[in-house]
Amino acid sequence: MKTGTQIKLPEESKLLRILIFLCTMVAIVTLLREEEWPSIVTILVLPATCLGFIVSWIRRNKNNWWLKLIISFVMLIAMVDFFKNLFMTPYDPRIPIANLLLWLQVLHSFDLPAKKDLNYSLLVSFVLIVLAAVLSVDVSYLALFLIYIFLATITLLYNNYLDEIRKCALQQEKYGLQQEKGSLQQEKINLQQDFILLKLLVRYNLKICCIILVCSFILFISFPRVEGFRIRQLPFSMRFNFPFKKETRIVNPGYPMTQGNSMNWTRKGQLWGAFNPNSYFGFTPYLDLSYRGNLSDKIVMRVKTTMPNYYRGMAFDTYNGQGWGMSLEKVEWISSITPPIQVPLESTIMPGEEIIQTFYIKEELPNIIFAAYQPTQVYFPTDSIAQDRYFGLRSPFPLQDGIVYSVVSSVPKENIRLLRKFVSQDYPHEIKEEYLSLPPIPYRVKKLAIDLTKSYNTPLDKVNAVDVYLKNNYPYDLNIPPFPENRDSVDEFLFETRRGYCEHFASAMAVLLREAGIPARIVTGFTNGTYNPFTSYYEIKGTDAHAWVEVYFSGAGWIPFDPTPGYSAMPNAGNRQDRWIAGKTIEYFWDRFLGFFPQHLRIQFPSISFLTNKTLQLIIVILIVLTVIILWKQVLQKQKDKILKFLRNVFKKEKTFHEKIFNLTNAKAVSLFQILCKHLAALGYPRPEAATPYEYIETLPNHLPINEIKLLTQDYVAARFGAKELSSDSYEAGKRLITSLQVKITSKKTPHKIVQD
Amino acid sequence: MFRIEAYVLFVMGSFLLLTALNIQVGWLFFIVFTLFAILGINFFYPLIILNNINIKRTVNDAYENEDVTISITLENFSKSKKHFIAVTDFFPSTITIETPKQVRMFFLEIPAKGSITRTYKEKAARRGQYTFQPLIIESSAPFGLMRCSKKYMLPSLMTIYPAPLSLISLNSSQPLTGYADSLFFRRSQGATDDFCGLRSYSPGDNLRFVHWRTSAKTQTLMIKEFRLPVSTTMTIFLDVSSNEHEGEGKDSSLELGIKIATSIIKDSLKNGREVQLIANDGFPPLKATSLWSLLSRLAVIPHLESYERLGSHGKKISYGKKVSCYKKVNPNGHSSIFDLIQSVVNQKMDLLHFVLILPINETRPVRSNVTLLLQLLSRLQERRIKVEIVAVLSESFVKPYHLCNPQEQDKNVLNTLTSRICWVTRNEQGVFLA
Repeated sequence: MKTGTQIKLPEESKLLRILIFLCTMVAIVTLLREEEWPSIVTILVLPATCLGFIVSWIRRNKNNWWLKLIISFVMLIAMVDFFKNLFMTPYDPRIPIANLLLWLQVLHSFDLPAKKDLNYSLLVSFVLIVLAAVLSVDVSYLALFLIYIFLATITLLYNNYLDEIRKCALQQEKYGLQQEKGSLQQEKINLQQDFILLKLLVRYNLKICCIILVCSFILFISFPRVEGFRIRQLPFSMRFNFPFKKETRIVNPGYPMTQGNSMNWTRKGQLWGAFNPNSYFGFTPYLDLSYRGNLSDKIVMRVKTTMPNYYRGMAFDTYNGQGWGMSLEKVEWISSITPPIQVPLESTIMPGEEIIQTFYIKEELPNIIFAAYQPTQVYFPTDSIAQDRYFGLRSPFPLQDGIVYSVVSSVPKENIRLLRKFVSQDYPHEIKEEYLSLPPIPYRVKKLAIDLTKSYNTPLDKVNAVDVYLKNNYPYDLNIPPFPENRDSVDEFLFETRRGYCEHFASAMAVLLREAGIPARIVTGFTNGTYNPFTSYYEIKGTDAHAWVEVYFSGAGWIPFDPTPGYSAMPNAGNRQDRWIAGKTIEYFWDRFLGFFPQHLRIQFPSISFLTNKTLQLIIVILIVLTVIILWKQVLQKQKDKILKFLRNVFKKEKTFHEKIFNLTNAKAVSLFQILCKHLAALGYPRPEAATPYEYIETLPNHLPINEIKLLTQDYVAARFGAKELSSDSYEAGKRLITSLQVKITSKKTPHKIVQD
Repeated sequence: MFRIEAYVLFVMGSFLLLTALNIQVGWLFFIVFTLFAILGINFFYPLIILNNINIKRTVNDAYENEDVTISITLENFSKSKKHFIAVTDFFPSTITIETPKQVRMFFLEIPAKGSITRTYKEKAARRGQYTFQPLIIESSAPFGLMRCSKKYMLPSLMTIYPAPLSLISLNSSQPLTGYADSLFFRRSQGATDDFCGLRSYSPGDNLRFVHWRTSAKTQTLMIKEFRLPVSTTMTIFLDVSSNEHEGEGKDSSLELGIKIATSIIKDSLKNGREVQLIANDGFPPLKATSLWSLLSRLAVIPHLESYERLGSHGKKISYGKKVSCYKKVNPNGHSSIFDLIQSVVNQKMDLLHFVLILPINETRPVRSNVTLLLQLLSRLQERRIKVEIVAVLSESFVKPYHLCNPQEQDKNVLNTLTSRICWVTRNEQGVFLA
């Protein structure tokens, strides 16, 4: 039989129920929105939760044993479904967990008789919001999160209010006290009064919420993002309808001419049609250097990675004077029934670092699987993918909005010292044949290549020399005139226009290196994009499409180099994610602000990339903290008297330095003895380093107050080594001795007058 | 003081922070810091709320069994509103052993530079002077995750006056002006111009007032007597520490005696007489015309429970046992009421009439009040002082045999000097004249 305390009293406050219901609904909507669940689930979950809250209100006074039984049964089904889903997606447990919690919330909403149950419901809604945060890939989550926080804090406020008035009422009941009518405790809680109260709480909560959000934002940007254990999450799409036919060629939806066209890239001119700002022309079988135009800055994909990197798409090995092509577009299919698909690696002796990337495709892209070089495992929503001979990966179909895939890559740690050891220019025959061949090149290009590299012995030094030359002498410019027909593009770039964009820089470097006898090829893909500190995703826009160079080092394999000004020479070096994100956050907001202006106007605004500097970030954090302190100055000033009073109390007692600092019982004796030694030293009798206190006083002359000194020394030794406390009399005697010695020191310093008779 | 919910949120926040560091999700960091901000605000906000606040307590004195009204005023000195403040007041227990009653009040909002007053009422169960314990002001703003409290030492003293009885009406409470009936005159040794007669010598009389001529005629020493102005002050002797008191709490004979004294005081003051209250509780006599000061004097008389209880063999006994058959010993060893009366009478020559309120318990075998009373009356008879006795009887309201059936020598005393003995008792039906 239940005792009185065990019986849960039904919660009668409608407002509390309504507030918790709203919190729950917002949490569910946020999760469903982030999860992009099938519509049937969306249709079911929301009305089921509404129904649950209504049922639990109506039946709050009932036992509801049959309802509990049904809930338990359905919960078992949900658990079975959870384990089934978990088994199906072992690499990403977020969705099964979200599914389970969602059903837990729905089922729990049918049985909320007491306040405790309602609080549990609020807690589950918070967990749903957390799950939605984990699944969220963009900043739109913030809007729903703010609504949730506002509702949740109002609920907590109201909950606190209910607790307080109930506590008062309980005491009144216990002691039989009477309070005057009109006091809150006397008022019967009804919905109408609740709404009047709600208005007051809303006003109050607005202030509180603002403080909370400001505090959380300051903490958010001040807290270093130290790396944890790097738990592997490898999500990939499961619900995608794949086309039946596997594509083996490059298919770029932005350039429809690529579809069904033969690889006759030797044709000159703009082979793939007019420039498409929504699609990068570098993701075609032929990289035409005569294309001109600005790419759109729409986000094409988001990447979650353990380390930012360049995401390689394609490689080109053959230069024809106007563009780059692939000598052989043959691909090999790699299959695996269960994920992941293992990708064969290029042989290298360079130490590699494992990085995990997850790609969330937002715009239609070619059938290229972008990944940091070199990918080792691919979690892709198909059981087979293709690999070309340049170790580029192909999807069986063009990538579409909503596709998610993960790649584990082994990125070579580009240690310059190690690379410098690869001095051999004895390359394999096939490498030489393929990556050193060039069409007839103007003499001045050849001469330039020789001039730049002749004074260097190692391939790395030669590569660096070319890189430095290009970066120092050629500005980046997207708006250059078209090259004249039948002229070598690299020659035009190097000697005529003397400006260009990434493809021109990369082409120039590759050609110059090949001329210098170093194998090189052009690679296209995406740079690491902009870091979004809220989602921790790198947002890759169309403008982040990029071309760079891969240089072959005998023994080390292909190493990427980027000659475009403004980019690091070695894209993989020093790319580790920065722990301090204050600068990045400001940069992100600046970027969003610039997004409101047309592309040609954005150039007018200064760049704030310098903010990512660590020292500057630290200064930013300090400035933010100082601002907060200044804002609180008023409060601090008001508290000044109290603080001073507190400090006075602390220092009220005449404590010695040792007492204050170390809280020692023998502090007084130690302090006195130290002052004694100091004074004796001042009188010309310093304590020898190796002398014990007794040995020291034996050496003192008789004109000093030896007896008093001996007594103080005895007290010191007793206190210091015998843990005996110094008596107040001894302390006073010691102080007198110190004072007398002080007088002697002063008189010694004062020059005596010589009186002559 | 953090509540369990705060610990749950802290643990949850720490767990989420670890998760966020491991999976590097930006929003998760934001949620974690929002959670920590909520906790932080809950930590600091109550401290801010309780700052710049003042509290006042006003207590109205009341009679026993009436309602005491206590007002609590919260003043906000800051420029911003204060929210979620709870005040706990400890109403002093009017029953000795019980713990103080807690009165909790909740203030949802206090306007900036404003104040709010709340009142509560409590029945004053028993007379006495009570000190309020420190008042506790708490805030759990805004979300109730942390509670901060402050103690306010407010000097609030509450006096519960003894309730008067309407049954008692004595002749002595009537006004006396100038010289009254000869019965009330005091023939004393004080020399005035108003010679009024002679009487035979009593031991202790001053030989200076011997009327030698008459003495020679009558062959006995005769003493001159003079008219003296009779004091109009109503003097009340109240026996508070006698062993004769019995009963417990509000039903004790002491409380009954105090109520009777209250009635007499009220009645006397109503008739324009000054009142002097003398009790044998160690405090000096109080002469006043203010009702409240006299009632306050009565209110502070210690309750019977505060006396040490000794068994009939002098052994201490503990609380909780039925004590009506045990002695209650005055801890301070104050003099008995009879000694006090004697000394006052010796000092005050003009005291010709007073009221004596004392318990009478015939069941006491040794030196009971009756014996002592008769001795006193005998002495006062010689001084021609009139005493009105209010005898507070035990619950059994058996009139003492010795007083109701006095011996021959006592009959004289009772008949001549005492105008009246008023027997008051209490039983389940209430207080009445026996």
